[in-house]
Amino acid sequence: MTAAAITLFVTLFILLFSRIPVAAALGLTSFVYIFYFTTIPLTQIPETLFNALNSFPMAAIPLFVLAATVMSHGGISNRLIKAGLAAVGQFRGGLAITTVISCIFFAAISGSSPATVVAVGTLMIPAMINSGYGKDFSTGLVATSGSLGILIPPSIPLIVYGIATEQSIGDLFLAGLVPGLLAGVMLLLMVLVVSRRRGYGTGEGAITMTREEKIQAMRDSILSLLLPAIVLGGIYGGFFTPTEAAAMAVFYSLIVSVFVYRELSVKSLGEVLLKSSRMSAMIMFIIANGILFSFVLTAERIPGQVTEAMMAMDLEPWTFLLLVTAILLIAGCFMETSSAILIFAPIFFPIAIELGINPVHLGIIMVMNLEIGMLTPPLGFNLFVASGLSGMSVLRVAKAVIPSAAVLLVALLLVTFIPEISLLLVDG
Amino acid sequence: MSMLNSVLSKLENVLAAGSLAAAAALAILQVLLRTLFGQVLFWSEEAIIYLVISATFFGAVIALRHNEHVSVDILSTLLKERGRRVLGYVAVLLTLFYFGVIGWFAWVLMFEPSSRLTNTPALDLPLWVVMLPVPIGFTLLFLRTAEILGRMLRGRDPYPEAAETLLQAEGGAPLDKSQLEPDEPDDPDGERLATDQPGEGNKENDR
Repeated sequence: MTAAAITLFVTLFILLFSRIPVAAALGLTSFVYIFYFTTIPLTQIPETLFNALNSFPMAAIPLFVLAATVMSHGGISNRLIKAGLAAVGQFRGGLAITTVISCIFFAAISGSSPATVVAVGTLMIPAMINSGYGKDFSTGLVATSGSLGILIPPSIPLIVYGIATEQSIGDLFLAGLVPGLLAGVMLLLMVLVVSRRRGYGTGEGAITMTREEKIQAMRDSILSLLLPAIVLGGIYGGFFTPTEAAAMAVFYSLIVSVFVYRELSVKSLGEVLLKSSRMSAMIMFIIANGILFSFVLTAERIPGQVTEAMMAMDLEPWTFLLLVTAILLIAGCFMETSSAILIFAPIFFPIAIELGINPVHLGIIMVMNLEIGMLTPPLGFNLFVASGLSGMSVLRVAKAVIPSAAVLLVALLLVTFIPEISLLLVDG
Repeated sequence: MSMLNSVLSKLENVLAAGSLAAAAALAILQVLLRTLFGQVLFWSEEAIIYLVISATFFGAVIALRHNEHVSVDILSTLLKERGRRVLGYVAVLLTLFYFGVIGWFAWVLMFEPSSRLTNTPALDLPLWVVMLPVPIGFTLLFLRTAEILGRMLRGRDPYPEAAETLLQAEGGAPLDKSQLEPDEPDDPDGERLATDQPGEGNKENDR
């Protein structure tokens, strides 16, 4: 490695682990490199930041954030959960099953994990604890199931990966569906086994609903349940681009929350807009600076050098994928999702191409790894949110998450070594 | 001074939320016109992109006021109280430097021939017009960071607008204590779970 490359990574890691915002750490590192090691004019930096966001697929990200905020403020998420309770609430482990299923549905309409944890956890954690599921089990399950939010499409990290590696975002969304559902089903199986063994949710103190209440809850939720069908069906059916589907998600959720459920007033709409613009700007600012950083990586020819070194080692595809998993599981403990993708995708991508690994498959593996990264301390957003909800310490939540995170890890290994799981729905 | 500040805050809010709202409205209009009436607005994709860019650079300023930019604070957990304070100042100064220097070169970029003489393909606007949120956004980020540094030096809360926790920032609230069972520090369930389950995972692995 050259002096420039070493400076680049040392600077990045020192800045990333201090109290500087991730976006500024990425940008400042790029500035240091461009200033000391190249003759590139410094006006190139703001120009790259601008061009980084200058693409139509990128516009899907703020629109999906906006749709998710409208949904959680407009009563859509509550109705999804109530319908789940009405359907399976009375079975053994019914509340835990409802939690997982609600997370899958909420994940299918929002691209964010912490948002899923808040929406489902606020209702389901107290309900589960009241009917005798342990506090640790309940909180851990919500934190883990919520992480499905970034794998099941629409998914913000998959959009970022698609832009970074020039892959079709529609294909990535298609590829993410089966692994996401597989992980969800495996979580459901775990819930069933654990509930049976410990006698959880046998009706004692469980939520009871009359027949009329059940029918009412089902009827209320029909409009909410249609939303994932519109978003995903629209993309898969070729009616919309992902950005247009995001716009439709905003439109539909606004109509339903303002005119049908009447839970969103015009006044609170301003609040929703402000909150969404803060949250999406935070993500997009990291992405812009992350793309600036990958521009610097390419200028220093680091991806090419790493590829050459890897090829010289005569790696098998499966040892490479195992290496990817090991690196990302460690990185996921310390790094935020979008920046991790923008730093590692340009490095892994050319190697995968050389080894004949499908780049769409690689994207799914990366996102699943970082999904587990949302559950690993010290930096795991789902842990923070779940700990805030339940009042348990972050470390205790981290411990409570271990069994369900282990299930996700098994799902990750299955998806890694059976490429057909991700490529099932993708053409060619 | 405080009135100027609140006017500026309002302006930032309106610019960010307004750009996002306009981008969303235009995107919705584009899809409806195409699917229902078969009409294509040739300029709408470009306009949506520039509105999203504007929402990003102005929104970043509000996110800074609310202390919502993600940072990975690991080094400071290794330090004592004093070291942590020093690191806090170093971080703010470096952030201030970054926003300042990029803001400066963003303004320089506005006056370069490439930005003045190039027009955007669909809207036919000069490039500097649609790039304007970059220098303005970075200038505001610089000013707000300087404000935060000033509050730190005077021993005040650097982020008076910030939510206390990530949970509140996500729009949630801590659950009612009465809804949760009494806290048992060594929950036997939790212990059993932690040792039981990985075995479960291995079984599936063997299959």
